[in-house]
Amino acid sequence: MNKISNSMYILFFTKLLILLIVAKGVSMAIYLYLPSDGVELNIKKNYQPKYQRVDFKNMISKINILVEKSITQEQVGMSITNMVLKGLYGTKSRGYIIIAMKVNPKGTTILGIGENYQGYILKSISVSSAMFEKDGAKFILDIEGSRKIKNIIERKIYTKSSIAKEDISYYAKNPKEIFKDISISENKDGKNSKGFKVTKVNKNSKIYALGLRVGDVIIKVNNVTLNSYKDALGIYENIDKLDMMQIVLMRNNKEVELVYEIN
Amino acid sequence: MVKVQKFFAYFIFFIFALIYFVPKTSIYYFIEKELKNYEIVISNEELQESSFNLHITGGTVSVKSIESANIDQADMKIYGLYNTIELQEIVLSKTVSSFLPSKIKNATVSYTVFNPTNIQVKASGEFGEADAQYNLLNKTLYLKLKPSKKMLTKYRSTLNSLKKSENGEYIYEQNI
Repeated sequence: MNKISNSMYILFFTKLLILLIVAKGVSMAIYLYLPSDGVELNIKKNYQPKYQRVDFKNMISKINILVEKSITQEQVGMSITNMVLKGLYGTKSRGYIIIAMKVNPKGTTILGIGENYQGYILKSISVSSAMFEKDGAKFILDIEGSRKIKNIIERKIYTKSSIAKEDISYYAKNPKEIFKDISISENKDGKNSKGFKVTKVNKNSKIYALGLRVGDVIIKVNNVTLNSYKDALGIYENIDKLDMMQIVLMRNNKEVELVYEIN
Repeated sequence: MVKVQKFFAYFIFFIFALIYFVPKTSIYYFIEKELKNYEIVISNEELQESSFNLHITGGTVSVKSIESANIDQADMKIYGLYNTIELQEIVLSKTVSSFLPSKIKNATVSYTVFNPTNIQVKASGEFGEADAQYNLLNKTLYLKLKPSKKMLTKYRSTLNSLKKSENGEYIYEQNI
């Protein structure tokens, strides 16, 4: 009788042991399948600009000259999109083009390389386009009737007067106030973000006074390209540590740079 | 009948053994990697594995690399048929707290094989009470919020972006 009960116990414990071994085997298999390390977040970015724009004129007569520069550039704004390239002849370094304003297409001008037209200097000629330079930026104008449409990127720099540190601190401490004054949304190019589009700006706000407008796409702030909310918030979280701010944005297919000193 | 009872007894024993042996830390890492696909990362946490659960101390949650919340304590319980992660004392970051009151008392994320397509979330805190469901097939989040007085008075702009139901609850539905 004892032998029977003993063998029953042995059988019972053997079964349990087998189940334990199977369970351990399954958990080992799970262990081998699952990752052996976790995910950690590392963000290290310097939100100070990699370069600082120094305008020596500022040192002599700071605010007056800055305001004057801003107005002059806005008035000069004769865009290359208002021009039409009627014909061209030559090579990269020699030749001439026939150019006119869209408002008066018959009033053509013949322009040689190195000559100036409405503030734009003709730099080179290619098979179907001419390249101009203005304020250090390059512009390509395609010949009239060309099927290829290029985005003409014009670079304008608006050097505005300074921003008060108190205003920056106010926005840094009251994030709600920012969203009352401005709304932005990711500017998507497929799956990737390419900057942030300004969808609303309160006209009575300090942000509007700084020059941001509805439809602007903010591409860079202090040389940090804005490809995600992380980039945008990274700037925001460090905003009270900055002593100057440089914003690069797209406005009507033109690249615009806003530069501010924070003091 | 006795044979069936014996089979279930052995099956339950096997399940308990499996829960005991299963590498909870590795499962946690797996969840972390899955969350990363949604740009959610948990950092700086300490893991402590025990017989039947995984205890997590501390942790910073970042959404799209934006530091969004700090978690004081969490417990992950994996029972196979019913699995939960219980989070306690969540403090939202300064940026997020401009949309919501910053303190969440507790949140429970649960998944059961009896409802295999949905992950359930229940949370309560200064904002009120929330019930959410994430559908794994449609990838849709459905959230029902019973706002607190604080939420109703100070965070009106957040509530305005939600749909108000007839019984005074606020509904948020989003494809993620």
